[in-house]
Amino acid sequence: MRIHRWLDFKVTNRCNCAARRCDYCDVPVDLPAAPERLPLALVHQTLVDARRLGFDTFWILGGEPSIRADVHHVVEPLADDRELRITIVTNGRIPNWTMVDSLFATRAQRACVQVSLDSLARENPKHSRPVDVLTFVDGIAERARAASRPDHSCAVEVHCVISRANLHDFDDFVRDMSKRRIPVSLAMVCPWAIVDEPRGLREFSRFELLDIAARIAGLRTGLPTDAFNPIVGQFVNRMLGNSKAGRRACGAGLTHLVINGDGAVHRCMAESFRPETALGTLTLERLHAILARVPSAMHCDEGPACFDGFAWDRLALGY
Amino acid sequence: MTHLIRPAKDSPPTKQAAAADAGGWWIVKPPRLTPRELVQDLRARLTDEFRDATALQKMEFVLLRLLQHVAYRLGYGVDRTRTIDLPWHGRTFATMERNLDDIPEEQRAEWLFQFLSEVNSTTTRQAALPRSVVFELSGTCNLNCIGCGVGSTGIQHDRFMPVSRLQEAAAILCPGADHVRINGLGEATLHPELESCLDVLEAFPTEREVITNLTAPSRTYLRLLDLGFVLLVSWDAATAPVFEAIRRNANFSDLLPRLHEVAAAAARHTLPPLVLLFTLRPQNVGELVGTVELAARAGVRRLTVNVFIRPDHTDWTQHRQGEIAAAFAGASTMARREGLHLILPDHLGAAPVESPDAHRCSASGCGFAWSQVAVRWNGDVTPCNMMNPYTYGNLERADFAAVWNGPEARCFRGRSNSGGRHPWCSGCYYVHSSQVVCE
Repeated sequence: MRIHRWLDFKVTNRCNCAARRCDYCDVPVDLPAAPERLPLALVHQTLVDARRLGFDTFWILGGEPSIRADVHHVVEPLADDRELRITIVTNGRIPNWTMVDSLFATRAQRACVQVSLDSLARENPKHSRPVDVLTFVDGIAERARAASRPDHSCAVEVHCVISRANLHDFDDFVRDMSKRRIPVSLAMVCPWAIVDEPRGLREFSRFELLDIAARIAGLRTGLPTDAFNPIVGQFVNRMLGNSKAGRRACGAGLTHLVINGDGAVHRCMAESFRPETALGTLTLERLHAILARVPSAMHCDEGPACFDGFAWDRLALGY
Repeated sequence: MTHLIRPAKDSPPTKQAAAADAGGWWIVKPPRLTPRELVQDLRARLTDEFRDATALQKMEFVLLRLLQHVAYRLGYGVDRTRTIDLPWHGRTFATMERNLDDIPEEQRAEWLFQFLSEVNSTTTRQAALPRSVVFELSGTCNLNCIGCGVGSTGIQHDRFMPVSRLQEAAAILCPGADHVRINGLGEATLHPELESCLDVLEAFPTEREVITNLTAPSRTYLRLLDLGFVLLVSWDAATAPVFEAIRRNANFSDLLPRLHEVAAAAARHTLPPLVLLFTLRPQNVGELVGTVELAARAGVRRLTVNVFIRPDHTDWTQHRQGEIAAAFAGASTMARREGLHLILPDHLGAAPVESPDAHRCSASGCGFAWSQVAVRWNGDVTPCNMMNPYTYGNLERADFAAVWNGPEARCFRGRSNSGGRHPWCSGCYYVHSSQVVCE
């Protein structure tokens, strides 16, 4: 088996989608005009350190990474490494072609731009214009085809977050995208909750969740994300108590790690929303010193915010 | 603009360039800070961010800003400062990846997590060097014994340890070792430069053992005895048909006289320098008593029984406990009558062996992770030679200290003697040599 380590690196805390607080994740974000919290040198140093510690799967996200002025320099230290898989996640509101080109110009085994788009509805929680985003996605796909080589796969992917806003038509959206040969990866809005009378963006009833899981299980597009999406349904079933699988060992801080836009290092995505769980901050210490505080696998209760860890361990270990 | 630089490929070969080529990165020095630049910096801040601040607040800021400048420069040094090079794990996970392939799926997560914990660890504590060293001189064999497979394709001439590798490893390991054994999965005496290998080991005053199938010429064994080696001879049956069915390609009628000749020579030494190793298998349970008798008549003074473990770890002894118990009892009686020291394992699968000749096996607790190392013909470093598929690393790619203290080795030690130990260790029948040979 191959050992992979996954780093989610929020290279900025600024976002051009939300005002002060992300509607989706309910976490505070900085306004676009705010100063960057992490200097490029620190980002570079951390990427080099992470690579030395065996991380080979890098997700560059935010905030919104495309509004970072020097985002096209972010992956420079990793550019010559042929063993990496690098993904940049963007909301596509402002197409940043330099960022896309800088990613595809690396020698990474897989270079992917993941564009967040949850539906084709004009009114959507991300306040995006689906037509513009799709134009951007098509453009990236064209550049990806041109930049791909046998040992360097470039790709574009749409990331669809299932929330109250799209729970009834997310599967239709996935099918529509598949007709354009655009793979769509799914995820539940994070963190989500099971309530009797759901109202908020992140609230669902048990019945709705069962329906979501069943519809995900029935989704087949013939595109690469078919291998990933069923994990979302399995996780939902697990949270509903319908899974026979017992408590699982969690690789948080070991197989995967999250760095927030302020440099705080967290073991997993779920903890990254809770500042008090930070292992340390990169503005004060190097990554290896912070990671040394993860002496063993984590034992905590699994909750709806644990999807990233669940998915990653499942992909890495075949749970 | 990047804050990390690497020299251009056509730049002169400076020391810095060499370091960067070797994987090092350099942080560009911080901006210059002369008094003029400092004043400009403070003026810019005070007229912008602190424009509306009180005089006291401005003074506080100036003091803190000065401190910040000093701290920044102390942290980065006065010139280009090379970043601390962390150990490079990025591509060396390959060893652990192979190790994980041999671990059952349901245990892999825990092994992986323990391994990555060790990668995370910044400990600089060095483990003491091993007291016992095994050198696998040959990774090939002239016999094709059932359940082994090393000799299934005949002798492979590219699977011998180079003498230079033995020299290098011995120079590091033997000065601190009490005990050296040459064996492994292959037949050590096949090594084309065996004499040179023995010369290397002769320089170190350790106890010495060799495990052999006795197919080398007698003079090889006489030479080994002269050098103080204890000969551990693999011998699995008392009758030619069973012996040759198990030890395929062996000729019982050739080997038996050699056993007598070598045992006679060994008898002149004070230590028990010849021990028979009998591997109990489904095919030879009924041969044990006869083998004890054969050994005694050849002049052998000690016979050790271990048990064949199936590759899938299913317990073949489970349904033959009665038969095996009878064979053990018969062997004990025969050994006492003939004055031969019999060593039996202390368990068969999960069942204990009730016999005065039963000795503690590694399954009940093993110190090899700390006290022993096996260097394979290709430079692989492993915890022991009992077909253990776990590797710490390879001496071609790293020096011994790095391998011995690396995350693979620390991970193995961390799980040794625990419920989560390596599956090959769980039912191990190895009787510690300190009880068998060196007592």
